[in-house]
Amino acid sequence: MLNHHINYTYIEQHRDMKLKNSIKEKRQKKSLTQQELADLVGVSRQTIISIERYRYKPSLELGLRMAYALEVDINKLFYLDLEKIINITPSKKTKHFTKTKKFQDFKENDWKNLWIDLKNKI
Amino acid sequence: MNISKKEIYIFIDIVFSIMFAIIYLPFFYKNSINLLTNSEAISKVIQVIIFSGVYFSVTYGLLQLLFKEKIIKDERDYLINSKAYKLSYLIYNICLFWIIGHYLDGDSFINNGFEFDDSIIFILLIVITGVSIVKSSYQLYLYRTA
Repeated sequence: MLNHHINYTYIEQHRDMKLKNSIKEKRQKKSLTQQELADLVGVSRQTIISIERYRYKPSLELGLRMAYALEVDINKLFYLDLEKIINITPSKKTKHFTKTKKFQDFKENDWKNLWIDLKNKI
Repeated sequence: MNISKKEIYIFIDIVFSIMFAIIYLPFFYKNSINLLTNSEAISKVIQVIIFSGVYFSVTYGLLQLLFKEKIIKDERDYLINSKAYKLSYLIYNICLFWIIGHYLDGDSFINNGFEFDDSIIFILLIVITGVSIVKSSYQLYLYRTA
């Protein structure tokens, strides 16, 4: 049986990325204090401080409420740390994530990846 | 140091647990409880209830006077509370199993079966007070760091 090895490094890299936010920046742009933003979204000032300092990850609902209050897109308010993916080097841990998939289980993306792999090898 | 109203509430709880442990726990010690008559024991319990009532009404009243701001409970509070209660539940369960094991393993249980021992009240009160202190301290720690 022909098997194709799918590299899960990319997935692992995404998993390791940290959630960041630009709340402080956007809040200051709108000249709002932490207390004012807290009142707008219905939480305490301490919660806003914790979120800005990356100590606490807010729920999706609170994130959306903040995006609405600051009048920005949620994707711009919360994002994954992209710097990490650029500087990442394959680790020993990565090898554990290399799994084997049979051709029968292939989906459209897997065929695309296989085609790219073959093209690169040729 | 900037301290919030919620943190002061927790601090009040910790102080109460420590005061209870220092003032009232010795009365429930095995030798002391044997010396107490029924009416004296009841009066001690009433004392504890009155003391806690006065303590909490005075401290909470003072807090309301000093801090006018309204407490807002949000998702972070629920998360911190659930984490603290989870830890206290775990410690409480471990202590309870340890106490049961300790009694089942004792000579008196092997020879005579279960007999009510006064020290069990003291041990349970120590566990409850200890767990309460740990829970409040952990809550305080999470409020400062999480």
